[in-house]
Amino acid sequence: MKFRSLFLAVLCTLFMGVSLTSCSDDDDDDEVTTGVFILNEGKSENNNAGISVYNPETHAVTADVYMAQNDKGLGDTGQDMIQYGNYVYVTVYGSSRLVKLDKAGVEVASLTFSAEDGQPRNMAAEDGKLYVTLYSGKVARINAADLKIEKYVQVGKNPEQIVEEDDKLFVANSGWGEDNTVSVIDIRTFEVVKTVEVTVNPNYLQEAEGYVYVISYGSFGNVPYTLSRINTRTYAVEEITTATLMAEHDDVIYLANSVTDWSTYTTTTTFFTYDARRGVLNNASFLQDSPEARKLATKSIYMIEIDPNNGDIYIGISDYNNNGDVYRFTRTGEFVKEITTGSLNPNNMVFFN
Amino acid sequence: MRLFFYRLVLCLLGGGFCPVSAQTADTTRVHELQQVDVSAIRRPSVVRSAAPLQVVSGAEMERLGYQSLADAVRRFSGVTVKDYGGIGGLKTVSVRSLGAYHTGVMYDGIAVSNCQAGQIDIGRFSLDNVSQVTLAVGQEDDIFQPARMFASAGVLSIQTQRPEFRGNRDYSLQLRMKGGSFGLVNPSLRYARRLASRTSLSVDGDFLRADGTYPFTLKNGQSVTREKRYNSDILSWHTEANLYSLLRDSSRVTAKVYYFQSERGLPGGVIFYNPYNKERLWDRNFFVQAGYEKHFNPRWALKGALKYNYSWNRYRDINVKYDGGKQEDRNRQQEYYGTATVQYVPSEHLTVSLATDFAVNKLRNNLPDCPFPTRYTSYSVLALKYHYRFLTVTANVLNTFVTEKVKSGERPENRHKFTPFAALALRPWQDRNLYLRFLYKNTFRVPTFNDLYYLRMGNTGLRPELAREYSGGITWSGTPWSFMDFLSVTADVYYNRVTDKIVAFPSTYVWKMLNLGKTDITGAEVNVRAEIPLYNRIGLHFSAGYTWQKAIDVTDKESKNYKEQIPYTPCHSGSGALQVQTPWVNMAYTVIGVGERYVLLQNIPANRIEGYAEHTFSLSREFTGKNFRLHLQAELVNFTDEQYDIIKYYPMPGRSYRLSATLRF
Repeated sequence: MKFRSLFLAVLCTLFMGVSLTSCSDDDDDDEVTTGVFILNEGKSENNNAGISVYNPETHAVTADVYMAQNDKGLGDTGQDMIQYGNYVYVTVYGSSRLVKLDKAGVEVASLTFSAEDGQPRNMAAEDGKLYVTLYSGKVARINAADLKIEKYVQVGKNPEQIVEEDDKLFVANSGWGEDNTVSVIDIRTFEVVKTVEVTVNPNYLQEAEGYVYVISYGSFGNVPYTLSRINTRTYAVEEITTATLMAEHDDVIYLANSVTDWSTYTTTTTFFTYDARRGVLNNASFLQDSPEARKLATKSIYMIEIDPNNGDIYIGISDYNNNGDVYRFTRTGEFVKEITTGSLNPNNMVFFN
Repeated sequence: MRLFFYRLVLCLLGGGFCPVSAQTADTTRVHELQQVDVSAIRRPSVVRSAAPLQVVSGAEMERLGYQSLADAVRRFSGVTVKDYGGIGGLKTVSVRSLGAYHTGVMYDGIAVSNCQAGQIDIGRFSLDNVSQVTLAVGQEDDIFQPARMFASAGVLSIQTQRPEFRGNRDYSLQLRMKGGSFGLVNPSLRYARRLASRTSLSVDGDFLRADGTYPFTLKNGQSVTREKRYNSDILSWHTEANLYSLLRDSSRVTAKVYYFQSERGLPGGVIFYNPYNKERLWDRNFFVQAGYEKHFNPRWALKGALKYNYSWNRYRDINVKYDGGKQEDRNRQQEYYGTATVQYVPSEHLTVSLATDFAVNKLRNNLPDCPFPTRYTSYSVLALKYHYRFLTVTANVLNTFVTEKVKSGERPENRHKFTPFAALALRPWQDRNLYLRFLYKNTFRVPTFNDLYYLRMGNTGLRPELAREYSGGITWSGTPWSFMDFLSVTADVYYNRVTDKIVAFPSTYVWKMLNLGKTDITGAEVNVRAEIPLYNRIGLHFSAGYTWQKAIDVTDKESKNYKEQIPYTPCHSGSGALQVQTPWVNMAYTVIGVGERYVLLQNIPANRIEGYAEHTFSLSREFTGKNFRLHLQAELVNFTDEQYDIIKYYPMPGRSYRLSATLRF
């Protein structure tokens, strides 16, 4: 089995150039050796999660590399995608599975979670292990090589994102608006050592400079979306501002705050940053003025990702009905390109060196 | 015996023969009908109707082997039935792409309502005691009706059977046993008794169970696998009692008590790699309705009805993602309804009617923040019908007033609206059955309780969703060739516009219901019906319909799906039925074909879902004894084993069979 997977991987990598260009909209012959994967969440009950490949040089987009390489669909509702070692790991929420892909999009291993495990949400990776949050209120430790579950630890209700910092795992327990805690797990003992109270409904986590940044959804009207940060040693929590989405690069937290006015049906998004090193909020937009930046200022932002190699900023939007759009800017906020992804709701990107 | 044969012919062919001839005085069959089958409901003429009308009788549905009411309705032209598959799956009806919210459903003349969901699930109605189903675009021609009948963009009307008594008997009994694939067992009983010379009572009961584990083909990329549908079982029970009485002063009293309950698995969409599904739904519905109708003299008539409706459901899902491992929702709705209609016929050319309805609807559920809404709705309609030689004009204006009370939170503003309807039918030549018809209707649907109050999505600021219909057509019936008994053709074109369409609008993590959508619908439909006597007592009946529809989303010019076909609406669809009647056996073949559709708003290959054709064959024979009639029938449904979805990832069953035996005393 292992040999077969390896063989397939090699084979597919060899033929990747051919198969990828044959699927792409633009008919060019660039090889996608260093490329970008975009995870399209898709729409629930539509089995249309997929991974688009974006060539940052030619801007060519391959709609669904997983389908092209594996002759089957990724599944229903792509939730999270991370890069670890030479592989890409994807959790598929509706299909309740975790897949391990090589950089050509060939599946090398997969794991289906049981009804007791609950459906998978998000991942962190460290020292050959994957840590996956499960809707049963657990975090599973999984061997990144063969995707075997080694151990579980119970955290809070409906855990969402998870990050590693300082040999600890931080887990946001959303409880679908009923929980307000971040569980801290000692990565060596794999036990919860601390439960930190934050603003209700924590979902997103990022780490930078000895702090874990948390975005809580709040309680839909009464408590706004809140960005706060947890000191990873003292566990002290400080609230920073209102924000709906974030990304981190080079100790800068990139933030978006999307607000919809239901009386006029209009959405306003502001973009700003937080300097994690100095602990200073910078309200200036990280996007330079352009028609595209102005357009984004009227949309709900679905994704912010930053290319760790060059600091390019990718912003995804979605109307849940049409294929998603991703806008690429340079690290200085200059508009580069608008990409239409192969499916609905682009929500994660990984960048290959 | 001779009389009985006529009766048999009528019973078997009646539906096929009467549609036009029933009202065309120059055929002989009409007299036979009146002599023998007095209790049968008069079949309305589809050719003379000013509003596009389609009719199918209960007997016809039985002979053609239709599996359910939804199966019958989806064969009507211009109709989209959303069928989530299986016997227990939700089935809703949209007329001419206006959306299921705009379809009114009448059960024995009284509207069935669901203020919480807005759409009526027609999956629950049994076919066993149905005598006729009609679908009218706009509204029915008859203006002596409750005001609610005027309030929808289309009306699906279900009429149940009236008791029939053979000879001098004062009772009748019908026992039926149906069974078939996927564990279907469906016995039913119907008993009717004459209580007095002009009063009769009937009681119906039917029980249905099916495990619903049918095989289907699942396509995932290059891999094609045979799978089985699980959690698709159903257990349901339906009982109903009807009282019919013709009083001494020739006024008519009817009363009905209805009870339905079911437990079913909700199989959900097929999810790749994850077959887990534990969703279940329990339903209970009880209603009682009573009607009174009196024709004082040829000029004045009055009718009225009262109804109380109680419906309850419980939804349960078991999954570790919920607090406590399960989610349980309970909803209870009640309705009090009254209607009164007066009809006045001042001259032979003019009929005027005034109808007023009042309804109170209440919802209780166990969701957090349930505001326990109560809705008071009054409908009044003034309608007139003018007929002069070659011309028939029908027009009405409907006044709707809605006000709501809530126990907590915000309530919507009162709504008050006048909506008009006008139809014109022309018969240019008195000696020809050729009609031209035109229709205009303006209707709206009020936001449902879910639209207004459901958790965070609900929006009490919603306005009603508006629908405007324009339709024109030509109809004809006659005997063009000597080998034919009769041929009828109807052809209509239409344009509809839905504005302020209520849609769920996504924003950052919280969605809200908004009046945002706009849909433009252009369509054409043709229906043909023919009867050809082949030899002696052998006859051939043929009917077919075709619909072309372009229903496009015109909400947002900037959007990628601007002017693209709305989801689940085929451009081309059609159906056909062929029956061969012989004294020995009756054979029927039916087909329904639907072209490709899109699953989501964007018309891209990834969202395309293939068209399908489903073929069904049925054989039946009736045996008669001294005191009984025995009807045996076998059906082979979807005999080409077509694997298709109406809703993507809700696979429909492949080939299946059904056998039934009906014994009538």
